Amino acid sequence: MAVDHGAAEHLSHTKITLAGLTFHQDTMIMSGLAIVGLFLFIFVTTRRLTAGVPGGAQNFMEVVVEFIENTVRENLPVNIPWITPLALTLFLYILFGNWLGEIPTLKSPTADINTTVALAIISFIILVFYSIKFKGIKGYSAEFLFHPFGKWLIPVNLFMKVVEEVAKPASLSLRLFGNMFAGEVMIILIAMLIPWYFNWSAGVVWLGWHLFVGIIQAFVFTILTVVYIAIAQQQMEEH
Amino acid sequence: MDPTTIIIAATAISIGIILGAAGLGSAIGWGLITSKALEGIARQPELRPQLLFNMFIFAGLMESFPFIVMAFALWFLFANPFLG
Repeated sequence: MAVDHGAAEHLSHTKITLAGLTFHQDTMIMSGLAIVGLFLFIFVTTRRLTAGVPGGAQNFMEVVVEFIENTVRENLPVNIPWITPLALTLFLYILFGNWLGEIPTLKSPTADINTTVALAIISFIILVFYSIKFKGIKGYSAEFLFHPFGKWLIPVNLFMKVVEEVAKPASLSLRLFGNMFAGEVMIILIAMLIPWYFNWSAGVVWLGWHLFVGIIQAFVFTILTVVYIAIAQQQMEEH
Repeated sequence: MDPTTIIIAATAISIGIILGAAGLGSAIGWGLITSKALEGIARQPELRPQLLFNMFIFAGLMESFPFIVMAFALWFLFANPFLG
C-alpha cells in the first residue's frame, strides 16, 4: 500500500503571512464556511417558521434554543441578558465547526488549537470581567490572596488560585482541540492502515462516533462557560 | 550515535508511554463512570434517559485529561522542543 504523501501533510495547515504574522489559511476559510453555513441555516429556518407542527430544522433549533435557555436560567443566580445569546452562539458555532470536519474534503476549524484557544480566551475575559463586576476589585483580589488558607499563607493561596483560574481556559481549549484533532487523526489512520475494501466500515463507525463527540464537546464547552460565569457571581464565603 | 538521534529516539519512546498512560487513564475513567451509571439504572430503571444523558456529559468532562495529555504528546511529535 503506497503512501505517496505522508499523513503529516493532512494534519498540517496551509500558512499565509500577513504583516509578519502567520495565519492558518485553511482554518480561516473553514471557519468562514461554518459561520456562513450557520447563518444561512438559521436565516432559512426563521423565514419558514410555523406555529403548527414544526419541521425538522425548526424542531432542531427549538430544542437547542430551549435547552440553552433552560441551562442558562438554571445555572446563573443573577440573570445577565446577553449570556443566553452568547451561549447559543458558542454552542452553534462549535457544533457547526465540529460537524464541518465530517464532510470529506473539509476540515473542522475547531481542530486547530488557535480557534479553540481564541474561544477559551473569550470565555476567560468574560469570566474575569464578571468576577470583578460582581465582587469588586477588592473582593476579587481578596479571593486571590486569602482563599482558602487565610492571610498567613498568601503565596500558597496566590499560587493555587492562579493555577485554578488559568486551568479554566486551558482545559476548555485543550479539551475541544484534543477531541476534534483526535477525530481527524483517527480518520487518517483508518484510511492509511486498513485496506480499501474494509476501511469503509471502520470509517463509518468512527465518523458516527465523531458526530456524537462533536455534539457533546460543544455542549460541554458551552455549559462550562455558563458555570464559570455563575461561579464568578457567587459571593465569597466568610471563614 | 549523535545527540540528535538519541533525543529523537527518546522522544519516540516517551510519546508511546504518554499515549499509553492517557489511554489507560481514559479507559479506567470511562469504566468507573459507566459502571456507576449502570448501577443507577439498575436501581431506578425509570431514570434511564436522565442517567445516560448525565453520564455522557461527565464523561465528556473527564475525557479532557487524556486529551490534554495527548495534546502534549502531539506537540512533542510534531514540534519537538527538545531538538535545538
